[in-house]
Parts: sequence; structure tokens; C-alpha cells
Amino acid sequence: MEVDKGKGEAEETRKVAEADRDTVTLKSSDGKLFEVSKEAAARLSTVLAGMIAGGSIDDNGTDLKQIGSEALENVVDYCNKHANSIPSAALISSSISFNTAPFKEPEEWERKFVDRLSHDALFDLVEAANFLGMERLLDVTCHKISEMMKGKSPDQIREVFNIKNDYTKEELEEIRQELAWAFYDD
Amino acid sequence: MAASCARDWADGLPADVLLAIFHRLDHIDILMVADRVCHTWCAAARDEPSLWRRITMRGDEGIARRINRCGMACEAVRRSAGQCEAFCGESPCLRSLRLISCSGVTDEGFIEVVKALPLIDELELSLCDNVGADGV
Repeated sequence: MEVDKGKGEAEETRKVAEADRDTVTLKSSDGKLFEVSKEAAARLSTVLAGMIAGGSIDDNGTDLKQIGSEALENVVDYCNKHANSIPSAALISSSISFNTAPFKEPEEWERKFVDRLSHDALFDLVEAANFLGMERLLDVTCHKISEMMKGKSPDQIREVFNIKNDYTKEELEEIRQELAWAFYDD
Repeated sequence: MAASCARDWADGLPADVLLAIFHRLDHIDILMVADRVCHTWCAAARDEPSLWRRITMRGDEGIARRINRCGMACEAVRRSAGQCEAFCGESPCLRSLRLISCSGVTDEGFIEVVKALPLIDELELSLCDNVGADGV
């Protein structure tokens, strides 16, 4: 998905009137350029939609200083895949059950899309989705992260996410006692 | 998956993202786990009433035997700080139900709930304007 533009090519790009292009070029914090379907970007990201509507898209690469190239590549990959996928009937008529509302279950390809990511890549992607106002991608990434937490003990969760235990023994004991009445096992 | 994380999942995630993740968990998981992971997660689980607006307490069988659902339900509703709009739990053995200031509960919904609770022998309705004599 990465576009390496030489000077000549960049010049060429500039000549094309922005309105005629069906892609937008995004620039990561480390200066890499990525091209994404304009329609998908506008549909999936409120921030990009605002930039496109407001004319603040730069043909030479709109600066997204908060997003690194790996995360931006995933964002662009997701947008382009989304542009090509036909929403399944399940997604359109997703039954609003108590548990899932207001979230829609990820599609099969969306699951695969996040399943292949490392923990770090997933973290960066959820941050990027949040920054760009990508509700659907946030749904998919947060769903994946919650799946990683389900059924695990605090110790196991700290291990999975490499979180430091910043409690003293006394504090943990305090929490245990506060909640003791709600638990049979403690 | 390998736990080779360099990112800070405790303090590095924007607060609203952490909440978005918690929103997708069963509330039993939040009560049993999030408080005890670290200070940041604990604060997110305790101090955000919107997280408790729609409470779902299912839990799996392994957990179900170890917990006091009633105690957990009370804690969950307490954390909603008055914002709880919906509560979903599986308790066909429920014997006592008290609804206070539940103006969103109608005759229809009330009848449906009570039908699902065959063992109920104690019922209190206070300030539930939309449940009339017909429903009762």
C-alpha cells in the first residue's frame, strides 16, 4: 500500500485536480506516504471526512503526525478492504440484542484482520482509530482486546498486556475487602 | 500470542478507548478483574457511571458457582450512580424484586419480567409511574 513517490511523480500528482482523484494520500509521523480510497476514508473516519469536506487534504500527503507508518498502513489497509467488501446480511440486519447493542459483531474478514496483529500493533491501531474517529474500526479493535481479557484473572491480564502491578499488598487487600461481600470465593 | 508488549496498556490508552473496551465485557468480568489489574483500570471501572448504564451479568458456569450474584448486582447498580437504564442477568430463582423510580418500566415489560421469575414471592414497586394496576 505504500507509495514511494519520486519528485517527478509528486509533480505529476499535483497536476491532477483534487476533486477528480478518487484517492487521498496520507503521511505517517515517520514520513511514509499511503494512498487510500477517498470514499472509504470519508465513510469510515469522521476526521478524514471533515478534512476532505473542508479541503484540507494535501495532495502531497496529508500529515498525520500522531500515527506511525505501521499503524497507518493498517488503517489504510482496513479502509481499502472495507471499500471492496460487501456488507453481509448479518451486519445489515444485525439483531439488536441486549448484549451486542449498540455494537455490531465484527465480520469474518475483520476478525482475521485484527487476529494477525501483534499486541503492539493492535495498541497502535486502536489509538489511530480513536484519533481518526473511525467508529467501526474502534469497534473491531476493542472487541478483539476485550476477547483477549475474557475469563482471565488480574494476574493473567497483567501478563498478557505487560501491565505493571502498581498496587501495594495493603492496597490489594483493601480492594479485596471492599468487594469481599460480593464474592463467595474471596 | 506472545506477551512481548512495549506499549503501555495501563496509562497509554486514551481513557475513552479503555472504556470502549470495558463496554464490551460482561460486567461480572469488570467487577472481578478490572479493579485489581492496576490503579488506572480500577479508576476506569469504578468512576465512570456510563459504563454501568446497561448492565449485563451472565458469567460462565465456572464463575457462576463462585460468586454472589446479588452482591455483584448491587455493586454494579451502585457504580451506575443512578444512571442504570437496563439490567440483564439470568436468575430464574429470583425471589424478591424491588423497582424504585423505574419510570422506563411499562406494564408490558413488567408482565414479561414477572412471568420469567416463577419463584418470586416479594415485590415492591415504588415511584414506577408506568406500571398500573392492570400490570400488577
